[in-house]
Amino acid sequence: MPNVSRRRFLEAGAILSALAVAPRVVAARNGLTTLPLPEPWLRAAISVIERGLPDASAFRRATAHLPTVIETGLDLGQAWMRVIEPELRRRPAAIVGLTSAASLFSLHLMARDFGLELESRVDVSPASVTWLITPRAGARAPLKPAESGVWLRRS
Amino acid sequence: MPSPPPNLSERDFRAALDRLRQVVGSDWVFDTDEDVALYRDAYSPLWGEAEERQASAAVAPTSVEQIQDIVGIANEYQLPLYPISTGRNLTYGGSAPVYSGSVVVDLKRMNRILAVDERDKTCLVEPGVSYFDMYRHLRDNGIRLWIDTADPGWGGLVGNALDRGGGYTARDYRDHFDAHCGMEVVLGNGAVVRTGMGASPDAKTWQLFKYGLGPWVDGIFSQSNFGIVTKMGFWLMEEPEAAALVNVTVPRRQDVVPLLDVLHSLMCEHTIPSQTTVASPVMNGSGDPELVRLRSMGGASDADWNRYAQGRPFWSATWAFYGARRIIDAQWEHARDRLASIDGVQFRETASYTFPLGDDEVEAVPAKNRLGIPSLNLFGSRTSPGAAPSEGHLDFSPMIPPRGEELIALSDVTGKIYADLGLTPSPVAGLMFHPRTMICFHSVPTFRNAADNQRTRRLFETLVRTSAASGWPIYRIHAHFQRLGMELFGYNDGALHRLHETLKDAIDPRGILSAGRYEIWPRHLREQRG
Repeated sequence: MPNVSRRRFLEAGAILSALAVAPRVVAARNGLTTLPLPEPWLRAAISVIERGLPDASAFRRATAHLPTVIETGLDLGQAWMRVIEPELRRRPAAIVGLTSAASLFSLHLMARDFGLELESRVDVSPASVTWLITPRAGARAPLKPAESGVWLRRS
Repeated sequence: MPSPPPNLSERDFRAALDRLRQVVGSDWVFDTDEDVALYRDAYSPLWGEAEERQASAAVAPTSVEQIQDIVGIANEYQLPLYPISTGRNLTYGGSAPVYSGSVVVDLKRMNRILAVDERDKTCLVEPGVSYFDMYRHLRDNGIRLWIDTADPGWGGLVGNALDRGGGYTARDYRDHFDAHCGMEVVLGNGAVVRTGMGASPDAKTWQLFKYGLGPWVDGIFSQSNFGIVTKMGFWLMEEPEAAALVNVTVPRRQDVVPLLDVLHSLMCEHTIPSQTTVASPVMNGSGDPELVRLRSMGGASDADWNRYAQGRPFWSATWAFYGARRIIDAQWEHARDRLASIDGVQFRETASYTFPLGDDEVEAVPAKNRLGIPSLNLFGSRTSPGAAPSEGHLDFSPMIPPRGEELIALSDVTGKIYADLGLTPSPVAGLMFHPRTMICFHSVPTFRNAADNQRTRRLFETLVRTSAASGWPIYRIHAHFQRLGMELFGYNDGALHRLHETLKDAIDPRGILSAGRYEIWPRHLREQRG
């Protein structure tokens, strides 16, 4: 497995930094103004790390402060069923990850039913991608928790 | 804002959506571009082209009564509806309507598990219940029953059954439509019908006996557009004491003939209970120019192939046994005895399990679908590092008799088709979902650019037409190709198709439900389409 270049990994690191500013990024992109509330979905962020990928350890360390950190194999099914989906049913949450592109594809598609959308993606190596999925401002989606979206309003 | 459905003015469309909001609440009618984009076919072979099938809006009800109201409004405005359960059958069209401009009726919020009967080993579910939901419910409640899950397991029981999907466990459960028992349907005219014993209000056997009294009509609600199924019963498999996964290999290409003859016999006598996969580790390799050359010839000899194999096992068959360990041992011994006449055959028990499994054991199971555990492994395992990027695929799914000669012939025919179009052949594997046929799934990649997709469509159509002409029609087909599919079921000048449309006119006279699904068009659009 080729090692990730320092430049690509720094780009991926920017995704983690984006966790801190994502609400404002999302808001600006959608013509929205954030209310002076702490971003609930940021506090509830979930980190998904595919074991065995280059830089999995670094990613784990970088996201260790998040309330939920999940390590998976190639199959995201158990992580989705046991942790991610129940969490998304309960409350809006951002998801950040280091996985294969195929796993991101399946997770992204399922998360869209909860009103989430892919915010950032960096292909860090041929085998792996880091990404950030966040609640889409103003989104309507069939499985979106009813209370979500209340912290944003159109400017 | 998405465009209104054809034949409906913007004003009427907006009025109809307002009426839908009154039924389900404004949060559950989606009509912005961003929200409606959720229903695009992620694997569309027409991505970004003018003909790509698109929804005009979506509505997400939570009850049968709301569905009846939606159907009533649709009848009033002649608003085309396209119901989906979880909308995950991506290789067959996903959640995008066949008739562009339809309003998707998204049933994901109807995700109640209405009943699980441990003694009867049955369940009754709404259409939004996913395999993940059902598995989690059984496990969290300590109910020792199994589901049979599609692969990947992100779909739902109702939608997959209605599309006639299949799984991997025992015979009574893995043909998902066959495993259902009783349904409730809102017809195109708004009437609610319960099928089988469910039509008798006090029956205790709705999920136990399929037929009820009089004609059995359940079949007309699969791969069709006559109603919105709002409840469906299923038989569940009792968790066995143990399971063993086994693998058999044979060394020569021509060995697939006796191999399949014996496997078919073992399935018919119920020694092999599970789905059985037969694939060639030799032919399914990739990247080797000699392999591509042989596959592209469309008829390389057994001698050529065996020389290429260089002693590697040519065919591999995989299945599972379920039950008490001593019974599994007897079945496995009997299967080995029956297959021992094939020179060079090798037997392996690759894994064994005693149930129930702990959470860590579940996580570690590599072939989860064989134990009724939903997974997303198909995504994780299908992309190798450095592989050429594609966005998705269509499933080309011809049905063949379970005979080795047919599997070889299909492989030759498809290899030649690819070569003639200047493409690299994809591998072919045979899966015995059903007891007396093999489905030979074969992935045809789709892309996010028109040029590559045009080539894909030409390839797919050629594969479907040629295989039907060879005696191997498909069992299911992507929405874009359903007209082609039905054309190939055109015996007696399309008599079956005419029957379908006669039923459509009777059951959904205003033609509001899933127009065009499996080429069944309502009268007003049929006439327009000529």
